[in-house]
Amino acid sequence: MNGLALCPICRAPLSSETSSAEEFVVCGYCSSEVTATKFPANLRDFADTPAEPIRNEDSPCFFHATNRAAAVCDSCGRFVCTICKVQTGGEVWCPDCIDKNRNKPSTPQFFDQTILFDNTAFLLAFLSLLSGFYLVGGLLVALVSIGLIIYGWARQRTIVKRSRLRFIVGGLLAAVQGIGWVALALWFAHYYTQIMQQA
Amino acid sequence: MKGSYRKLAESSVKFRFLPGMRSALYLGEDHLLLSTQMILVERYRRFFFRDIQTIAAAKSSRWIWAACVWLVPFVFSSLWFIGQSWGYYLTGGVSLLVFGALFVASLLAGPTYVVEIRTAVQRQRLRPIERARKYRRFCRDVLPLIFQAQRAEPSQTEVVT
Repeated sequence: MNGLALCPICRAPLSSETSSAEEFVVCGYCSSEVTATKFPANLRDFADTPAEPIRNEDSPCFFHATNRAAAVCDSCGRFVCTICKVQTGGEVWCPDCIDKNRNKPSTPQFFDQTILFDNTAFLLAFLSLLSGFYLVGGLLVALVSIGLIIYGWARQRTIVKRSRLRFIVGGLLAAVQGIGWVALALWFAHYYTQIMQQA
Repeated sequence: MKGSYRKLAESSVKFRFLPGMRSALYLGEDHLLLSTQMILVERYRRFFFRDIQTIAAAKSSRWIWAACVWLVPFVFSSLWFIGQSWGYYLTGGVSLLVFGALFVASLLAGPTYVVEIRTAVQRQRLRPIERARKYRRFCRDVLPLIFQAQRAEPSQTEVVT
């Protein structure tokens, strides 16, 4: 599909070209008005430029013994060919190092997902109130929520800026829930004792 | 790392409460970062400038339907005025005002597009920039950076992650 721009609605190749992102053409298949910006990488054919085979005294790729090494992994120093070479932010990595460093705090460039402890703690506290589970296990839910907040405060590794407000709101909600549940339990125990004494 | 990203756009307010629909697009040093939130997990996709092949946008009528989402409760809010007391009038007035404002704001946000980014190995919708105004701003700010990165790139095979 190199060289062709596709309609985002029907995925059909666009027959006519647009000269700028402001200009629209009509898709021949779905009649949507479409604009497409093609970049030089669109014409690059990946299959046409495979890794070079090893010659004479060339160093081989660590992962492909028959391919000529094209770069050195900045992390482990292994020689890698163009197939194995992964470039991120000016650094070269081999697939092995990416796999090893995927979840390490020192290499946020490889994070592909992160757990949101703040949302988890807040939702846990909030949903227990909504579902009525609070009456049975309110203290447990509050403790788990607070535990998640304490655990996640330093461990939540989002690679974009994220406010701590959800942690604070979740913590307050869990604290109020916990105190409320204890007060409710004490009141109920007191009330039950009174009834038993009267009986 | 956190400081190196600049937020370009994010999904509209009503999508922020729907799982999987909350997303934001960030501009990094040499790539675009699409972050999608699925309630408890945030997922990231990176599009390196040197790998982007096309960015296509198609006009869609979704913005009219999106506005109608607010028009329906706006119309139903007028039913509060059937009840003849100040309480009903006040509730009706407030809900008319809120839903009316949301309806007008949705229309003012402008037409919607379906925007798709394509590299050799992936194709992804860019929901945060699907309003016409945001898409134009994105084109003005980011497209020159992509062209610049690809002009500077030597013609050799790069393995894309």
